Amino acid sequence: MIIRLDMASEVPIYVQLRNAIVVGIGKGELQPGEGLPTVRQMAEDLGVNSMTVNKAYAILKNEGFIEIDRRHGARINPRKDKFGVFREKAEEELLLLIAEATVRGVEKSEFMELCEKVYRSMCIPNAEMV
Amino acid sequence: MDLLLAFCYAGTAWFVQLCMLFEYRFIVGKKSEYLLFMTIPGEQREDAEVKELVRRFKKEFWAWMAGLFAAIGGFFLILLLPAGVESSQLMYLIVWCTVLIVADYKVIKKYANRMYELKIKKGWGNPPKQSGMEIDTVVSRMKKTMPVSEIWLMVPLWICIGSFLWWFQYATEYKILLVSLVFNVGAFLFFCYMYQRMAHGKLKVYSEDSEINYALNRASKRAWTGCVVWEAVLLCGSQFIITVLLYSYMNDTAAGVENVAGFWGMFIGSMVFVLLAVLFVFFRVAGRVKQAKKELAAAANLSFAEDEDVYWRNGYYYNPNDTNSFVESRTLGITTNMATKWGPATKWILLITLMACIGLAAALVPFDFGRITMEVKAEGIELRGCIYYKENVSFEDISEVLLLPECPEASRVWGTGTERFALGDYRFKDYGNGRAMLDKDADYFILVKRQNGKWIGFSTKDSEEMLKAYELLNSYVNEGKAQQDGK
Repeated sequence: MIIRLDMASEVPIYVQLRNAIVVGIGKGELQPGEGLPTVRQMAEDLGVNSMTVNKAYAILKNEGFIEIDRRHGARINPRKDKFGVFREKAEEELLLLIAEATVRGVEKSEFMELCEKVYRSMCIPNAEMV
Repeated sequence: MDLLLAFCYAGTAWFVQLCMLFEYRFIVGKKSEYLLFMTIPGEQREDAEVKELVRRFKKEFWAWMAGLFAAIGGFFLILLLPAGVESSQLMYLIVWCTVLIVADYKVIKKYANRMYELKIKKGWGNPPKQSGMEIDTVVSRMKKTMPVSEIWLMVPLWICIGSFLWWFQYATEYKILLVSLVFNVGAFLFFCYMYQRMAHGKLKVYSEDSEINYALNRASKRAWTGCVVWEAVLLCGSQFIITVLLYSYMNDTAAGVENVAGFWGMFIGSMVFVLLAVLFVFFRVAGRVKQAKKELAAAANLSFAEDEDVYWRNGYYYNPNDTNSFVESRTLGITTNMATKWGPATKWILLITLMACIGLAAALVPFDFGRITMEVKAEGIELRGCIYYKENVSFEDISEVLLLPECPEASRVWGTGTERFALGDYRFKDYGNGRAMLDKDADYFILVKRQNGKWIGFSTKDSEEMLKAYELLNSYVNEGKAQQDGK
């Protein structure tokens, strides 16, 4: 999987890295069980500090996207949202996103079309919207 | 001897110029991938403005090369000087090389910049986003499999250790050989550093296909790390052989065995052979890496969406987004990324090297214009040679004095040996170790044996002064003998 970061962006590098890996999992480019480069390898090849990569990996681990093993390094292992924690967070973020879309003049149908289009670009089974 | 040295200097200059000309075909050659460091596809090379720019570059480049080639004759003109030939020739070589490098850099930078501006003006190419960083996670995980094993560096390491063990066993009396062995260690450490940079350098993303990315990166890393190992073995091994040859020559000289022609033949032959072997390996690897990457890219039908000409617009690589200190050059071999810490470091290294060479040439001046002086004092004779050397011969320390009509044969242990002077620690044939303060152009030479068995040989151009000194020293020796007999 190709990860691209924008050094000129206002978004911190570790956030960009975390987001890129999450998107990669969502799109199916990173499969469960697949290994990620070690912190040192990732830092060397991206040209960033290893603390930055460490931070991104720690966030991914806490959020349940990867697991870190001392022998095998980081591996993709997404956890289901059993306790609805993500659902609550998603609802909050969607509230803001939809509010902004409404203010910008984006119709509901247009918004839903956009969601469907993004879903289709991911490799998610049964991704058809009801 | 002066003529031979002039040929050596001229040969060095010709060789340096030849290397520059070898690179020329990768700058504007018809089969070259790039034109004046820029990516200019076939049909665009037929453009009238492009052709005109290339024509002007070639004219200016060849004008400089022709002028510098003619200037090589200066090494032979220097022979006409009444004095100061050696230091003048070295200084001339330094100036000549500096002019060559600066002229080459200025001309290339000027026309690479103009070609880049022409490309932008014509709307060709697609400059990359300047702030992007990318990684192929699959390839990055397999990075360790790409370079040749680090274990191969044990070979030059053992050569270095072996050379020191050899010196301790056989050659401790020739401390000057340590300079060569220390150089070996320095070279080995340099190659270790280069191996680390090559092996751990940033991977490049060529396409969306991880297999293609892996193949291209592996071809590059494997070839360059292998090249580093080969060069380390060649240089360390050859340096050791040259050191042993030097030791053999010094021993032969001390034993009175003359084989100057044979020695120089082996010495120059081994140096020339080694230099050619090192360059051959380097350029062969560079050529094969280029070819392999070209074939792989063609097989994968790769078309690069972005070109990196913006980073090469000055004729050298400057990419602040690339953390690699060393990258493949657009001519041949590898080059420095001037946007990393190696950029200013390269400039400082070049500047310090230039200052050191100038300093060395200046340091040789006393040997061209200096002399050996003698001053008789109450307690002994004080000798001074070419501002760097000073020696005291105490009257009480003398056990024997000899006056010789010819310069005694000696081999250098630690000191200076020029066409005219022998200064420092020497091993005298038939006499043993000692100090030399000899002007080889003198008429008389005095050898003094000290109470500890070591000799000191000295001479000045003033024959009368030498004869008086001999009489004085001899009188002290006779006085000492008389006192001894009296007891």
